[in-house]
Amino acid sequence: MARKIVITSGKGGVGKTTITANLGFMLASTNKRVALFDVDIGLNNLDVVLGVENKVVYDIVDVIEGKCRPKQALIQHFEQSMLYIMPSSHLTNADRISSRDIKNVIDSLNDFFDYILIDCPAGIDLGFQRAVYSADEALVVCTPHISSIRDADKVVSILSSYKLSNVSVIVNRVRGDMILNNESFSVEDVAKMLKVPLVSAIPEDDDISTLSIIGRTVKKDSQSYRAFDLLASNINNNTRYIFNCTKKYSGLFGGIIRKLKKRV
Amino acid sequence: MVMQCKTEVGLERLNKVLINDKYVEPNSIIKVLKSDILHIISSYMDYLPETCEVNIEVNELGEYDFNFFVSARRIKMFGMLPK
Repeated sequence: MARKIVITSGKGGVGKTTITANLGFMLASTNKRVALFDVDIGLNNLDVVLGVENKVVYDIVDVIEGKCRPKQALIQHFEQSMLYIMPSSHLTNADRISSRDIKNVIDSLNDFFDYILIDCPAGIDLGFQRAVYSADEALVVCTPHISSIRDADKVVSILSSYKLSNVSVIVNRVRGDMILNNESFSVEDVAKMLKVPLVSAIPEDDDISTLSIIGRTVKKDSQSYRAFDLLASNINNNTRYIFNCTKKYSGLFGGIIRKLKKRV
Repeated sequence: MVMQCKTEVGLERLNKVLINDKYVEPNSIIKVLKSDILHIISSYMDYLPETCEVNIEVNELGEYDFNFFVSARRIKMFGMLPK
């Protein structure tokens, strides 16, 4: 039986797709069979972020319409053989796709995977409901910005009406230097405001956007790699070890880096 | 005057925004909740419907305070009820 986890946020641009891609990659590297579902119909991006856009033959809408079997639509990742991607469609009129349709496809692959991660579209309309309906657990992604936290709070309220066994928050794009300068909310502040357990803090990393341009996941020597590794470990073992985003900027040398960063 | 640090100001603003967002007109939920609670209570006591009061308020911690009040004429004797 797969653990079905929806990655959601409410607000757009907070990093849901990037987190889905990198978390999936990390879980797969621990020898878990992982399927990533892009249910953002019409505005699909998971295939591009993972660099498999040229391998798409069938998509989830083709599966729903009976044009192919679910396994035929799955794309195996070129670097990580345990990672599969179910691409979404460019179809702009997605109204005819129901939550039940998506759930049927996900349930049909339940026995073949350890994890099914569902990349949820932004907003709280039909696309959101389609994504959440199939999940057993939810990861709410937000950034330490007031608008993102506000939207995440609304999403958490909506999620409470679904039968989810676990709802946790991931704070993405954390600036350790700004936290130490008292210019940004800390990850603990965010979790406290949302009243939801914190499962991960991912530091702001310029490499993530660069790597997503060329369809690659995070680099092994980076801070974000260690944060994603910790997140995957937390998901696997139900632990709550949080990456320390301020460590790099603490102490004498950290203080110098902080001051230099502020000047640039 | 001591100027508050930016994070403190931000947290205060965020807290106000989140509390304000929770002030959703709860009439519909109160109506359903009242009917559900009264349905359960009716198994245990003869309550006076006209005394029933329900209200939900958001406190300064952003949590909901739920108050329910009802008077009852008598409590039912469970030992006497047929099985």
